[in-house]
Amino acid sequence: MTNSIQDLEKADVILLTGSNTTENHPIISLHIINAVTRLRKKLIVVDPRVIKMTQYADIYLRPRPGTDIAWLNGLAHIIIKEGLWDKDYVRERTEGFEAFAQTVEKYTPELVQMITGIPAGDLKKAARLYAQAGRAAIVYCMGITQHRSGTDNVKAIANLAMLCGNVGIEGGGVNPLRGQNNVQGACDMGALPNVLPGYQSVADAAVRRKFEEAWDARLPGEPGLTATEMIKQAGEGKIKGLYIMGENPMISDPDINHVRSALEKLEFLVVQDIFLTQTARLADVVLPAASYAEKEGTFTNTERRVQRVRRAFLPPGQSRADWKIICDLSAKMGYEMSYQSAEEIMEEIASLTPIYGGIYYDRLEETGIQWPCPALDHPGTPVLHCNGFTRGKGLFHALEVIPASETPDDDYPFLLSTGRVLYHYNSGTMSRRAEGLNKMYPEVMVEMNPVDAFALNIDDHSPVRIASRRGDITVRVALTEMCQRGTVFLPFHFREAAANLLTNPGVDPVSKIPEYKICAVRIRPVHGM
Amino acid sequence: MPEVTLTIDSRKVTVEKGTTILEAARRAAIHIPTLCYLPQFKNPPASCRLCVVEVEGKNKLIASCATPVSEGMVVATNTEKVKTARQVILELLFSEHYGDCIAPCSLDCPANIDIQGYIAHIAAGRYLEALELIKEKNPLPLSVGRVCPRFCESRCRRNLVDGSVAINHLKRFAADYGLAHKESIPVPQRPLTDHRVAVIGAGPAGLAAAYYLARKGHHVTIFEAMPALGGMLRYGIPEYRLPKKILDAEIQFILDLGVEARTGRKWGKDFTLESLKQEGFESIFIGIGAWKSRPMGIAGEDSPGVFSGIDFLRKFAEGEKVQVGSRVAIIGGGNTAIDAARTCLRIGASEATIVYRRSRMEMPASHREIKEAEDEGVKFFLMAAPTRITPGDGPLNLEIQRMKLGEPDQSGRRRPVPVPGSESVMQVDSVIAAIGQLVEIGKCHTEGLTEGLGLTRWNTIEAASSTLVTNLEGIFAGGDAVSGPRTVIEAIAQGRKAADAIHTYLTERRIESPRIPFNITKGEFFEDVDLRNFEEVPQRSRQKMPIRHPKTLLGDFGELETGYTEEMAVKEAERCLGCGCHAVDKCIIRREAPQYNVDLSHYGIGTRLNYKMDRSHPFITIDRNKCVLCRRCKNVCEYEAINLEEGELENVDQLRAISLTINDNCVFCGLCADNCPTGALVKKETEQSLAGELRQIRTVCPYCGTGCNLILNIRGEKLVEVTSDPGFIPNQGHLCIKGRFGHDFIKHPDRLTTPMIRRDGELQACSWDEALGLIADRLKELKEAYGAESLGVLCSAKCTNEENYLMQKLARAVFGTNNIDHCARL
Repeated sequence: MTNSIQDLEKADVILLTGSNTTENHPIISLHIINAVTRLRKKLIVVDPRVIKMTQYADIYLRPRPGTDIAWLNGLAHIIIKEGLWDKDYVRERTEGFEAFAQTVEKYTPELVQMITGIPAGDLKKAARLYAQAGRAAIVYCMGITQHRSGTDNVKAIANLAMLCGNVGIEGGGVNPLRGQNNVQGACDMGALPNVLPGYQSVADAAVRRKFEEAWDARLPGEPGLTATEMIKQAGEGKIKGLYIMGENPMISDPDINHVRSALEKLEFLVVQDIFLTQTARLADVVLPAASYAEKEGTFTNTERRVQRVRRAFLPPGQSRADWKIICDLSAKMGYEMSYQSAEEIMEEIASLTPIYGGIYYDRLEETGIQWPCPALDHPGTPVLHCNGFTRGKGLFHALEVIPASETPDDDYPFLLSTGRVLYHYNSGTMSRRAEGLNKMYPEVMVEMNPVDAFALNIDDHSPVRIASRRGDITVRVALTEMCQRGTVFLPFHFREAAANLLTNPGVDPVSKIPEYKICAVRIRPVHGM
Repeated sequence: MPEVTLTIDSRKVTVEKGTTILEAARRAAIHIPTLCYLPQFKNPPASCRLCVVEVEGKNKLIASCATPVSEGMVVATNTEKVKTARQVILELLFSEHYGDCIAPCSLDCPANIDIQGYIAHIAAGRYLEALELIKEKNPLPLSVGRVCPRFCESRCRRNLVDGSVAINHLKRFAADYGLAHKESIPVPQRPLTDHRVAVIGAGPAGLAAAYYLARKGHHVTIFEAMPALGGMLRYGIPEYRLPKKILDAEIQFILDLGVEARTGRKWGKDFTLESLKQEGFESIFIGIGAWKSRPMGIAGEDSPGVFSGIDFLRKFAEGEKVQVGSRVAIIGGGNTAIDAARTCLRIGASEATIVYRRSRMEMPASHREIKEAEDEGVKFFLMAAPTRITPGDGPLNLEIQRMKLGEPDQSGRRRPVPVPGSESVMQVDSVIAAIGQLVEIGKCHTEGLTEGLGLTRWNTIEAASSTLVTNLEGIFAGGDAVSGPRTVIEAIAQGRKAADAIHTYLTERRIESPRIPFNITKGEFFEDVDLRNFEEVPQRSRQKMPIRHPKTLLGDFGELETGYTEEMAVKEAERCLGCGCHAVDKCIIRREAPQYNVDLSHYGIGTRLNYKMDRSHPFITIDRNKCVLCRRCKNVCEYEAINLEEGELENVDQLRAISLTINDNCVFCGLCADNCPTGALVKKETEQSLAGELRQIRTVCPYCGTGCNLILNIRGEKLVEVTSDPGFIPNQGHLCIKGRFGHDFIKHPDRLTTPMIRRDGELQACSWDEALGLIADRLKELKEAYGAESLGVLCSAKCTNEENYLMQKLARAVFGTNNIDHCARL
């Protein structure tokens, strides 16, 4: 997030899109609901599904899945046409406006209505509400990113925010809600193929030299492979050995059948986890790790806040904290990592990572610190880009709609989106072992529009077989008006009916994010179950 | 922000303008009690008025939560007027509050064991947790589970349905289970201190004191006059009631904590209080018991063939052969008399007759044991007292006079008076006198001391009842030596109380009486308890203790009661009505009541069950009988999921009618229960009692990226519940269902606990060294054969920053690849 969670209550208008906030970020949804109901702020929701947040919306736009660039360009079109844009901001702080303006020129409300199904009048109202707000925040989540055009969708959001001068101010910003507890931190720490900790490029020789000196080791300069590429190359026999720490691609990655055959091709697979996951079952060596409650450390949340994780229990049996395992393995491989504590590791991080430069445990006792925090006396940064963008000027991108890699056809007439529900988390390794959560949501259900169900002679709660070109599963149906006709929604937490047996391996060409929100499936009732 | 300076309780406090008096006081760490107040509310309802204070110049008391400070304001938070107001407010709340803070069984247990708690664990199959909870208060459950007279069971509310729960049998089951499964329960032992404590006497009081002192980390040395530890448990209770090997195992658990035992060392002969102090013991606990037989005071009681009950049992336990002949008369009606009689039958007596001067009803022995003795063939000669023992053909003639019951004496029992002309003679081989025991202190209490140890007029040691401290600095005493002969559980209770007091003495050099908790009850006596409480309780009679046939007596000292099976224990445990409130520890009105001298006689207390328990919500139990209408649950809920109204009266006994339900808006965040000041809304997961002190660990939620602050509330090694601090962003006390209720995975039995290597197609456990060695070798081989780019690493968005940092360092610096990524996109 460029801004902070608290900061949402300072916005005059919040544009929420691709986030089923009450289910996936319930506490953030409370802040938004509070802004609307108590502070009388305005809310625009744009989502293909009639999610709960639409109840609080002043304007609700319901696009067809996969048409985000069209409505985002359409909003920009109206804002420019009606002269509602922040001309000073665009002139002083951005570049590339002309090419952008030229591209959005053709995205008239009428064209956008044709592509997205959003009534032209509603789009205009939304454009005016967003553009005329003093401060407007955009909040989005995987509904925007998990597309073949995921990167472009995000750029289109940034275009809109810059156009109205909403980046670098309190109550504004471009605010992706990060999924996992420490996905932000894993990125920050350089668990990415192209950057070292603090987003310092591996290709930059000066950066490499700094780390080589600190670590007393030679570092590779070529960017590596992303997770999806590694799985793919494992399948092609190029990746021979894979070390997986606390991930479960056998549930969470697209096209699980392909993942399985790829992992089985590996010559050597190590899995380090707290449970024997579907992935660990395929491993040559399994290492038992400590859970979050059994170790010291830090997590960085979606608003870049670094917070302390504290040990409450001893790890069970012989299991060890992941950082200890890594140190032990490194020593075995002849490279000494002799950290006595997690705190000592953070001191090294601070010394090599400018954005974490002032982050020390004794400063994290209370509410944590938001990076960038370059020095010990720096208070942290609640709002990014206040004094210019990282690259200098904010760059507008001219973007066109990119069709999904697989769209419904006669054989596979339904569009499937996958996602999460309130009661479970990702591959279910943790949440499905919580008694109360299982009681509330024991079994996966596919959400389907009642009209579609009626046409196929499917009753509520009856079993159906869902098939894609890659696999099939059998699940029960939950009929709901939330889903548009022709679309179905399936949570992916359940290994016994894994949604990712169906999903397609299409990815965004830049970020390599899988296209979880769109694939084509067919649905048949199953009798006698 | 402009600032305002005011005076609270004579202290100058400076805060921002607009701050309430309450907030200002809190910042100055001045406690003002609140009930309905929620910090996040801009306009507090100020309806409970518990937070009232006196402000100079104002006649009326002012609600501090709703009144902003002003410059120069003078506030008094704890004047008599304020205290009286709060007292009345609390008393009125109690007048409509109906429940049992603590279950009556636990209140009547001398050791206050959390009986309801351990029975709930047994019902749920968590036997070791049950045992752990018992051992919080009683370190000798194997023994007590066999010999306790069960004060608890006589007060069990289930007596009003179909008979009490077999509490002691369940305790024994849990203890036996622990022993049989050799699973050691974790004993929470604090780090070792430098303090040394001497315990004189290894009976139940001394053992309990030693155990709890050792748990607190102190060095304990027991001095015992007899050759083995256990005191009366070993030398006074026969084998068939408490097998020695069971006792040995139980004592070993205590010694395993690092307690040193010196046997064959007698106070007054081998050491004195002074010598112990010189040896470096900072504190001494005296638990020497009451081992001297009370003389009968009749002619001939010194004749050969006349024994004292306790000597007889002790000699027998020591393996000495005592010849009692074939006809034995046992004088006395207590447990020692019964034990002596039953032992006589086992060593070959053909006739064992108990002679007691009152009726059977008045016998102090446990009625269960009287019955067992009778079943075994012990005869009873009641309403009779010996007057003389003379040599005769018998070879002893025991002269007996019949008695009748006169006026009640001090003990409340009717005094026996002789019936003139009713004398008769019993011909017996031996007489065992067991009419009572006395403390045998000799000169120990004065020897070598300038000021002697204070004794009572019954020659017991004088000690304060709540701390067991004697008149001498650092010296404590408990058990029969203080109370005269009583039960094992009473001795244990005193030993534990003494240990607590000794701990405070050692660490803080002061004596502190434990606070007596404030409790309310649904009725002190059975006749006071509203029978509507039990309307829906189905009748299920008690599980019978399996018992060996009583007719294999001669020479048979095997245990008679064989103990519950697991199935029986669970069935019996399910009979528990769970009387005690699950919110006792957090209840605000219970906590504040003693401070304001709440007197329940002023406005009375709820006496009628007005509402049935509502267990329909998956995570929360609603008990409207405990609702004080503070409305915090409703006010704190962001989802409008609480329906709380004062509604129609459901019955004539009600003062006011409360309708409290949770509607379909509920997202199961649990915040209402966290905010309930009483037990009206209780999270079901907290309905199980756990052993150990409460620890609170602040951490961050492991689910989504919001990064909510969590407080893990832990007892022992178990998570009690998850809460959150309203003072911290980003969640200000709010949590979602996963953050609140999604943490079972931490202690899940599926957790991986050992490294594994695939051998013959199967993952098999191995050592860390093997696993890491294999990984290092294989990765090096692959790197040499195919290059570093053939290796890949997936990090985790679930792991910490430090771990992700190290993992990418490992990948880049050691493996030599940038093929590293994680699930950021999934």
